[in-house]
Amino acid sequence: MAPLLEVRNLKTQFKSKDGVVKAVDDVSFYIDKGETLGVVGESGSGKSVTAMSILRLVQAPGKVVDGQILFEGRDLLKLDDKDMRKVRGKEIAMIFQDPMTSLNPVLTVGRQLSEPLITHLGLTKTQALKESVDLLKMVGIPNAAERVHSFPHHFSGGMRQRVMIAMALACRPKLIIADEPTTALDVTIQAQILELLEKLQAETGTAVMLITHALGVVAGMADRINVMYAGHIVETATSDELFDNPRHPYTMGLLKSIPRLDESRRGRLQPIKGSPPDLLDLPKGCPFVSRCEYALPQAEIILPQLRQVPSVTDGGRSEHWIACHSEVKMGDPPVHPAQEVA
Amino acid sequence: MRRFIIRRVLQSILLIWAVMSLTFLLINIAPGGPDAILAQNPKLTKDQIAAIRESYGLNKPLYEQYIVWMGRIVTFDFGRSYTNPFPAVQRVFERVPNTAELGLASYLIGMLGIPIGIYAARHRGKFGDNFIRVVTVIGSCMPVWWISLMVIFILAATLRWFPQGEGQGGVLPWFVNLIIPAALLSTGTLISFTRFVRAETLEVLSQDYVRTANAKGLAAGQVNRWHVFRNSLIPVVTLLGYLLPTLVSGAIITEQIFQWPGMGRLFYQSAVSRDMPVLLCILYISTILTVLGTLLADIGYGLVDPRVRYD
Repeated sequence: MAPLLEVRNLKTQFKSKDGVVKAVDDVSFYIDKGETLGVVGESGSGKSVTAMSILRLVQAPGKVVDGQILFEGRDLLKLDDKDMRKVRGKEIAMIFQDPMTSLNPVLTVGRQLSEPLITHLGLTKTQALKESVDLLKMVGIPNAAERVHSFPHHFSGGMRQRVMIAMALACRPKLIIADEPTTALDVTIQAQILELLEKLQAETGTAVMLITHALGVVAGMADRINVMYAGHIVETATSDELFDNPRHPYTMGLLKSIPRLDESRRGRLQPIKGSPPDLLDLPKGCPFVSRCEYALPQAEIILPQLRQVPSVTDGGRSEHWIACHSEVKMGDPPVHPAQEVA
Repeated sequence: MRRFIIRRVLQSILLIWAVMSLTFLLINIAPGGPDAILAQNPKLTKDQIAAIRESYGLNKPLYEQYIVWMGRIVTFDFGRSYTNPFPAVQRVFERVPNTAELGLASYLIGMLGIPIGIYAARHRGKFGDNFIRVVTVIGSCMPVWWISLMVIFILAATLRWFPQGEGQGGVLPWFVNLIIPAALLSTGTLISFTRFVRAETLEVLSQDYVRTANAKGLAAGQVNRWHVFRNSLIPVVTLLGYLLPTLVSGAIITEQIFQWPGMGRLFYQSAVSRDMPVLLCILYISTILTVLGTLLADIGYGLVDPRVRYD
C-alpha cells in the first residue's frame, strides 16, 4: 500500500548574498497512515524547513528547488495555489513551536478555531463556533463554552498550545505536522501536551510528524525516527531499533549526550564535540566528518548515501538505514579521539 | 472604560489649564507683548494709551488680569480683538469652516498613505516599493512651503492649470481651489502614513500567527484582512488621533502661501499685529484639539486592540 505521504529527493534552498544555503538537501522519507514519525536533529538541521516545504510555506528567499512531495499520490509541489490552500489545514495541519506568538492576538480563540471549519467544511459561523467549543473540550480546556470567546492573551502557554492542537484537529486532517510543539513550554506542561497529542492521535487515527531536537520527546511516541543533520537524513529506523542499535556516529553522539534513567550514573554525559557545519560552505563529503570519531578517509570526499543495515529488533525485520561509510556500533572505541575544542 | 475616560478627561482639563496659563504668561512677559504695539505708535498720546489699556483691562496687575482672563476663557470669551472691533472668538470662528474644509480634505488625502503603505509592504524590494520609498524620503526632506511655492510656480503661474488665490463660487472652482492646498498640506500626513503602514505591515507579515493563518489554508484575502491588516493598522489608529491637531498648526504655512482665509492665516496675521486675544483663542483651540486627539487615540487603541486594558 502506498504511504500517506512520500517525500522524494526534496531540496529546499535559501539564496542569500553569501551564497546558496542548502537547508534541505536531497531528503526522502515516507509516513504511513496513522503512523507517528519522529524527526530529530539540532537547530539548522533542516527539520522545520522540511515541514514547511511539505505545506509549501517556505518564505522567500527560501524555495523548494527539486523533488516530489506525494500526498495520497498527488504531488503537492505541482498543485496551484488554490488547491494547495485546500490541502493546508484540511488534509495536513500544522502545530507550531511557540504558542505565545502563533495565535492572532486580536481575534478570539473561537473565531480562530472557526476559520478552518468555515473555509474547508463550509460550516456557518454558528455551527463553527459550536464545533469550536467541542474542540476546546476535546483538548481539555475547562469552561470551553465561555473560553471560546476569550482572546489568546487570556490563556497560558500550555493552554494556547492546546488551542493550537484543537485548531490543527479541526478538520480531521490525515496528517499533523507538529514542529517542536513542546519546546517553548515548561517540562510538566510538555508531558501533558505530548500525552494529549498521543491520546488524540489514538482517537482520530491521524498520522503525526513530530519534529523535535530532543530524542527524549520522540522516544515514547514515535513509531519511526528520522535523524537529520545539516540538511540530510543520516539515519532512519524504528524507534526501538534506533535506541537499541544506533549506527550513525551522530545518532550515537546524541544518545550519549542525554541522561538515561536505566543506566548507572557512572556513565558520563558526553557532548558532541565541535559545532555543526556552515550550511553555506558544506564539506564535499559527509557533513559530519569534522566532528566524527569514526570517520573513514573516504568520508572526506564522498557524501554517503542512505543504505540499509541489518536490524536487531523485531526479529531483524525492522527497517534501518544509515548514511555512513563506516560500520561502527555504539561502544566501539573511537578511531579519532576527538580533540577538546577550546 | 468609563472610569478611564472620566480620569483622562479630568487630566485633559488640567493639562489645557496648564498650557494656557503658561501661554498667557509667556505672551505677557515676552518683549513685544500686548503693550508693545500701543507704545510704539507715535500718534497715540499717553492718555489715549492709558484709556485703551484700561478698556482692555491691561492696567491691572498681571495676576488680576490672569484671574479675570481665566474666568472668561472657560466660557470661550477672549475679549475684543486688538485690531478689529469684533470679539476675538467671532473672528476665529468665522475662519473655522475654511480651515476645517482644508484640514479634512488633506486628512482624507493623507489617508491614501494607508493603501500605499500596504502596497509597498506587499511588494517589498520590487520596483513599486523602491519607488515609493525614494519618493517619500525626498518628500520628507523638502519643506512643505518650498514644495508649495514650486507647485504654485509650475502649475498655477506657468502652466495656468489651477487658479491662484481664494476659492469662490461653484462646485468645480471650489474643488480645484481646494485640491492643491489640501494635497500639499497632506504631504506630511501622507508620508507618515505610507512609511508607518509599510513598516507595520512588514512587521506583521513576518509574525508567527500569519504563518499559522496560512497553514490553516485560509484564502489569501482572509489572511490579509483578518491576520495582517487587522494587526498592522492598530498603530495607525493612534496616528490618526495624534495627527488631528497638526492639521491646524500645519495649516499656518499652507494657508499663508495659498492665501487661504482660514485659522492658520489669521494666526499668522494676529502674531504679526500682536493681536493677543485672537492669538490666544487660536492657541486655545489647538490645545484642546491636541489633547482631544490624544484622548481619542488612546480610546481608539483600546477599541481595536483587545490586549489594551484601561486600568
